[in-house]
Amino acid sequence: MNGIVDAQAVTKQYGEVLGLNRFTATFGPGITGLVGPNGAGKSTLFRLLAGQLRVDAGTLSVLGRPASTEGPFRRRIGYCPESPALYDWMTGEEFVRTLLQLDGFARDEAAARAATAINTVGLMEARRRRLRTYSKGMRQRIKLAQSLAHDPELILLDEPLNGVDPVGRVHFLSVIRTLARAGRHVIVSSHILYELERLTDHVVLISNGRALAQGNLHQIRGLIDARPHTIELSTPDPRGVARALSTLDHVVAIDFPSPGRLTVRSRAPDAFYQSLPELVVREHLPVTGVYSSDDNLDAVFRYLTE
Amino acid sequence: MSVAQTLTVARMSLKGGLRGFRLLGLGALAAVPSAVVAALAASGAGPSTLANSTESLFLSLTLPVVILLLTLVLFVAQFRTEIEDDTLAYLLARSVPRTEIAVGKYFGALGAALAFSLPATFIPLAVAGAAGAPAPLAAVILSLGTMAFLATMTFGAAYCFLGLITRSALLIGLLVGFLWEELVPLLPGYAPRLTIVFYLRNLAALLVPTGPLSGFSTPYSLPTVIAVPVAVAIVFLGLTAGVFRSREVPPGRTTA
Repeated sequence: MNGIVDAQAVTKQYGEVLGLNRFTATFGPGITGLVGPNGAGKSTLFRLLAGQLRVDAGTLSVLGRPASTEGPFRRRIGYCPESPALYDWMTGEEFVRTLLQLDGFARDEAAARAATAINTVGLMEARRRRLRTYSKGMRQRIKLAQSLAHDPELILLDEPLNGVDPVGRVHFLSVIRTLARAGRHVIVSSHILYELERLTDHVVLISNGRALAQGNLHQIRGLIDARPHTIELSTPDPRGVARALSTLDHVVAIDFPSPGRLTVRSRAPDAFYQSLPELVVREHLPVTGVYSSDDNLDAVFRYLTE
Repeated sequence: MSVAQTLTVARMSLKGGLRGFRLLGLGALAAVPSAVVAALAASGAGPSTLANSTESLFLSLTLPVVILLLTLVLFVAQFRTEIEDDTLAYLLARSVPRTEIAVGKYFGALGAALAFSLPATFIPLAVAGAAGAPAPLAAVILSLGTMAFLATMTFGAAYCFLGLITRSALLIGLLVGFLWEELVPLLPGYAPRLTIVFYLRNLAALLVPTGPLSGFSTPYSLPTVIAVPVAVAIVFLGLTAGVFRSREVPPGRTTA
């Protein structure tokens, strides 16, 4: 029990449905990604950490205290829920300030902190607009603002990139990295795996309420090295390219999922990536795109859950 | 208990209750008794008829229908809307104790409900006065105001509790309001004493010696008929705080 968050055989049931099933994982300092499909148990874990659900079995500690601890301890945790719902009749500024007042900050300090947090997420110009007029991306940003406005040690971000536009995502990720550099611990869940991979190497994979694997992404990749890796190519001549690729001895299968595309399964991805450019040049292969799903967390997750 | 945090919750609830279409709808509902009195005046009712009709209207329309409905809408929404919208997660993520949230929500909704129920009670008297009815006795004003306040406070506490514990709070609230509180007082024996309306009507009879408000038997003293609704409100508020303290808030339908 030496992590920021320690979960030991945590089980949470909703009636007959298991939200978490003997979930065991340790979340260390800095940024940790929580990766899993919808319904995997990510939001259940966050609600447990935020003290809004009670553990049915097992132990769950946050910052060295039981997750169910109430009172001033909760000021050490910031929580950004997945749900897009907000108090739509409030302005962005009013929303963040009011929640800070609920944390015990006096009105003036709450207003100052709210302004700082709103500025951090880039919503200063919209801070006096009603939340009902906010786009989905803006709603995500104001949710992030309320989660960090009280300067918590641990920030729980449940699918924060949902609905955020590409430029907004860059800013969002930058804010999260800045928080981590300032010594804050962040647990961020996502199924937008590309961005998560850009954010951290430390991940916990969750499926059906259980932790499938945790640690450094490359360590997790080591777990699946025995499995063939899939690479997708786009080309106007799939059959000609397939014919050329079939000469490589580490290629074990080639499929044609759609016109102009083919997928290659290789036992040795490194060798494949070395061979491919040479083959393309030598055989004049019209390859227009290479999409290596094995380079992202999605593929790792799929392999582990197959 | 932190007064500042409780007041913050109460302000949120008050502002949340007095907004948008709900504000317009409840405002229109609260205006119905005044409109009825204005219609009576326009039909040529005499001054004393108008004065008596205004008092009767409170017992037959304002108290059992208008106040009950606006109380139902405002108090049930306190928890039910937040649970359905999944906004409760924001409140529970803060360090404010749950008891403060429950109490703050109740008093915020009480403020919003009184903003409708008191005008619904007193404006008809003003309309009648403007149409020539004699000025009401101070006892009548006190009686109507106290009844409106106690009804809002007591029904509100019950509806707040219903909104927390069941998705069918509006339906159950309507049944309680229109069946229990309307039909049970018609039963013989001690059954009427199980309703809030019984104590409110007795309160009026104790305060006002003549006129429509005086027409009920008064088996209890004034302190008793005030204490019973207040006690019921406190019990329901305590139940709400107790249940809310142990309530879990699972993720919404789209998340898990």
